Amino acid sequence: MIKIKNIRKKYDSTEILKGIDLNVEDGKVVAIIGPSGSGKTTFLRCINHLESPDEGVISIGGSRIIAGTSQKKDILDLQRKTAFVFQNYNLFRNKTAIENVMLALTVVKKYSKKKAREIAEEMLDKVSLPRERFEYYPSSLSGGQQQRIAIARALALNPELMLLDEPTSALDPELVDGVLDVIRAVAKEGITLIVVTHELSFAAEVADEVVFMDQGEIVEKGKALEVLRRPRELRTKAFLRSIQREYSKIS
Amino acid sequence: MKLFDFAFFIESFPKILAKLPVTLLISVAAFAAAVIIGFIVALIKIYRVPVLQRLADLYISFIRGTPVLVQLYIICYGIPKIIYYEQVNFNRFTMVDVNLIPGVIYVLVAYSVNIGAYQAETIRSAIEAVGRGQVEAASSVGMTTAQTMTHVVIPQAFVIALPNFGNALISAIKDTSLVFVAGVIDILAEARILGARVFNYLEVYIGAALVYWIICIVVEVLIKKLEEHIRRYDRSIV
Ligand SMILES: Nc1ncnc2c1ncn2[C@@H]1O[C@H](COP(=O)(O)OP(=O)(O)OP(=O)(O)O)[C@@H](O)[C@H]1O
Ligand SMILES: [Mg+2]
Repeated sequence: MIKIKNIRKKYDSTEILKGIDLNVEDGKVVAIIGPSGSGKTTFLRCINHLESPDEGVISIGGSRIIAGTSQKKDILDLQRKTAFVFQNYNLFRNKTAIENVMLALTVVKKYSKKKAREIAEEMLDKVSLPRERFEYYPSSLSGGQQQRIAIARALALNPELMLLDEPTSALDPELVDGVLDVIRAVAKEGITLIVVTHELSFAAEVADEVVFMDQGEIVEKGKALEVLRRPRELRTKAFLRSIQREYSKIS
Repeated sequence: MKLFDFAFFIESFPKILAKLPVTLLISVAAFAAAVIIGFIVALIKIYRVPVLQRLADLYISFIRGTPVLVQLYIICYGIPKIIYYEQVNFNRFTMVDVNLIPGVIYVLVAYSVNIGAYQAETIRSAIEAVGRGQVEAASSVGMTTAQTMTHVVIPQAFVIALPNFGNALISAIKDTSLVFVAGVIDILAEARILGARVFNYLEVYIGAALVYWIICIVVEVLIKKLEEHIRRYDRSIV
């Protein structure tokens, strides 16, 4: 069970997150939607302390972090229980595809090279990266391939919670579906996921719960289909309508 | 009278060339030490370590704002005087005989400190050029700051800094031509000695210039090769 309570974050004097609560049961998938600038990325980054929240409590598995009182060690512990998939992949540029997946296994988990390689191969197979691409550097791989590797890197750590920030929004349109398929498969494996996305049909299909954020707070949350098909709040309705307009323009 | 005594030139050139290892040793060793100093100073500035950060700024400003020859003089006269002072007043360092410290030590200290100040900026900007995304990716997989540095940041920063390192090494080779003030016989000092014997300087100075020129070209080519090698193996960076 993941419990997030009253997360607050300010930049300078603007309040970006105004007290966010979210509980996620193990194995569930939560999709966060909301307009640009509503604080979705900031919230996700606060959960694994890439950004330290000003206030709030985060408990994941056995570890519990209270903002302001946490030690470096606690934060490291938390980061070792979570994994993050970035919008722009952030693969290690000085490592090949397979080394990207292996690095944390050898350095953080202290596995032998051999064992790390076996796990990495398994994970890269899982995200369907062609084997002949394993020794390529990120610079010679497509965005879709890079994001798959990033997902494999996250999976390899066997995290209790995986955070994904718009994992497909930097991709060329024709590469989106492949990566969404990979995330779908990850969701089926029972890993707890929190994913920020603009792909509403993906959210409807994969997420157990949908959270709508606006201006630093959660406006509405509930069962995925209910929030997406029968939103209660005006702001949610307006947002969904605007996104559908965007979609019809594209397609 | 001849404008250029060719026989004298031919005779002295090998003797000047023989001092190449001295020049190379001093510049490479000082450069290596400078990279370590520069790295530490860069970290102090990046992590904004209180107090030390101010000292780092002062250090860089002083070194940049004074001639290297003056810095050499300060080290060459300063270090023995400090040791002597400690011996006389506090009975410390008594096992050291100030007169027996070889000049090359002073020279190495002076040039390490000098080049380090310049390299600090190169290294700082190289580390920053690696980017936050890489550091965050490392945090997100649970790596400590030290692990992130060793496995992700330093290897990438090194590649970014390599062209600058190459230029700095070439500068170091040329800048160390002042070491005669500490009594070290390098390429230029040897040329002066040979010239002084016969009151004929042009030939030996041209000889010295040739040695510097050749070694600088060689180093430049080697650095280019190294860069190409690294880029072929990892063409993502830079
Ligand atoms: N490091 C920062 N310093 C100052 N302000 C920031 C910083 N990071 C984010 N913000 C601000 O916080 C607000 C929320 O940003 P955030 O990136 O969390 O939004 P988002 O919901 O993820 O938007 P998008 O859909 O565009 O990704 C924005 O107004 C942004 O300008
Ligand atoms: Mg965002």
